Amino acid sequence: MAISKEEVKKLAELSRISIEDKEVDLLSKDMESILGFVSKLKEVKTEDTEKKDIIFGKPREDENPHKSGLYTEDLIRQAPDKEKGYVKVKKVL
Amino acid sequence: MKIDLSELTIKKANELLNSGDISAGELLEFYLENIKKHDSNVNAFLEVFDESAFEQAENVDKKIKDGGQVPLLAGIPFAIKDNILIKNKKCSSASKILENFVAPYDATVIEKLKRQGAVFVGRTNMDEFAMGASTENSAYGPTKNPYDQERVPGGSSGGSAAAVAQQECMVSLGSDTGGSIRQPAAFCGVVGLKPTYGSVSRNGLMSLASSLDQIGPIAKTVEDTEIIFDAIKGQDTLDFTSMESNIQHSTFNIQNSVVGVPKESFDLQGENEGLSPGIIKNTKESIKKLESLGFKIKQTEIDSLKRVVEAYYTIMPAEAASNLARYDGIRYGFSENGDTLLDVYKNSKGKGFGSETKRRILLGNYVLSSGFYDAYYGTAQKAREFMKYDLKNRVFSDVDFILSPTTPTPAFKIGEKTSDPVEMYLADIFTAYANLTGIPAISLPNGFEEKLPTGLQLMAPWFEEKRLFDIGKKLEK
Repeated sequence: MAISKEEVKKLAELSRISIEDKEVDLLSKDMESILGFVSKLKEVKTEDTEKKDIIFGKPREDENPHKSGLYTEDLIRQAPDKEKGYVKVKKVL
Repeated sequence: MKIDLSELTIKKANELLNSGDISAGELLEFYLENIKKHDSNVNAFLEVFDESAFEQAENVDKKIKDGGQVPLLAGIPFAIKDNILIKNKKCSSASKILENFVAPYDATVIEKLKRQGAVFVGRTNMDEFAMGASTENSAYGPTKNPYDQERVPGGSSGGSAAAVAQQECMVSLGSDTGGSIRQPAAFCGVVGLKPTYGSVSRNGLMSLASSLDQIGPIAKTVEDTEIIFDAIKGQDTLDFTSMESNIQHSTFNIQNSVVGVPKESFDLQGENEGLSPGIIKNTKESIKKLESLGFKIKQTEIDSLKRVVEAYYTIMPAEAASNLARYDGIRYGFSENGDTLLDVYKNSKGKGFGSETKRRILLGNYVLSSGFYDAYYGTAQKAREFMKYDLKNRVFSDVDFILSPTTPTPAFKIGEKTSDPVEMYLADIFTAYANLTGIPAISLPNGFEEKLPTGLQLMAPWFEEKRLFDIGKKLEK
């Protein structure tokens, strides 16, 4: 399973990660070997999987919300750039 | 009377605290001294909380002085893996991108420990975002194995395991996604438990792969491991995958129970190629011991064990890529500037993430992309479903435990596997099965190979942790 440098660059772009040229070579080599490895999965038996028996927990009821703004300050404090209780970002449009 | 603190168990410490023979302050002091002595070499801790730890210890001492009896975990010095939130403490997942992140709330497990009066010694080193099997992927330098500092402590909870082994804390918490508690416990000669998926709340644990992650204890004895597990387990409204178990443990009789040894992991008659000689010898000895204790040993076959690592390294990166999308330089910690908003995201991730993290994000997004989804992620999910089905309907109708070595070899050398990711991934070969299927698994110290500890893994059906503790205590004697 060959992964070209162009594919690595495109994946990084889609993943929103800037990568340096020297990383591209290494990543394409590593991904090729990892994907080659995980491809062996196709040999695995998967019959009978229709009889799924997955156990789920119970989602909590959506009730008794906490007071609005109770945690705002604590959470906003973590943002690198903020203003008046909001997270600040660069122009979007 | 001089008390040897290095031999203390939780119960013993609790007796001594309540009787006034030692104080929580003295107990804490013992471990802090060891941190001073050893941690510049071992590097198990990213931060030591001396000040707040002493306050917590003083509170316990005050309660005892006032004539009260304190619960089991009061005054017990815990080390906490750096991906579990403790309110108002830094929590970085050993990543640069969360360098300055301060936890705004307590993880549910921390809240439960605090309620008992546990003391938090510090936060421990790990592979960045729990991605690794050696603690070499930390942005803050590797942790060293206390038994041989040229070797890794295992990972990703390497700091938590090394800290217990080096007597830098009494017990610790780690997290296990594919073996991250059990493998370092085996490498450091301590006990590590990966609980049943859903038995311990993940609220406040930084997610790596949400369908696989579990928080669990690392300790020197099975009894300590059980006490901590009992303290942190239980359903939590803040984690809807958490569950209360309805197992009636009293119905299971450990006498005459059957321990299955899958041929794919350990061949009772064969060569066991790929396993080191010490691991083979120690595993055989423990099997003999179990037989002499009255357990029936049965060689079983679990064909899907052959492809566990492949399924794991498809599902885990897929979930990780989705979970780590939130670290974008906008909401938490580290941010690297750029011309546009998109550049801020890209630069922050590019500079903030280490190479293994980038590799897994790219891999995860690849296996989830529309052209390849069925071939990789879809197949892996089917394989996983089959594993669960096979366990429930075949394997566990035949055996009560599954036994294997925890790892194929003892601790490897620092740098030995860093250039070959697939080689590193194979460190999870015996452990990831419990994560994919959700069953509980424990790693027990199992002798040494030369001077390096080796581990024995036992797995049991869903929510049967008690079984693991029972058999573990018998083996420990």
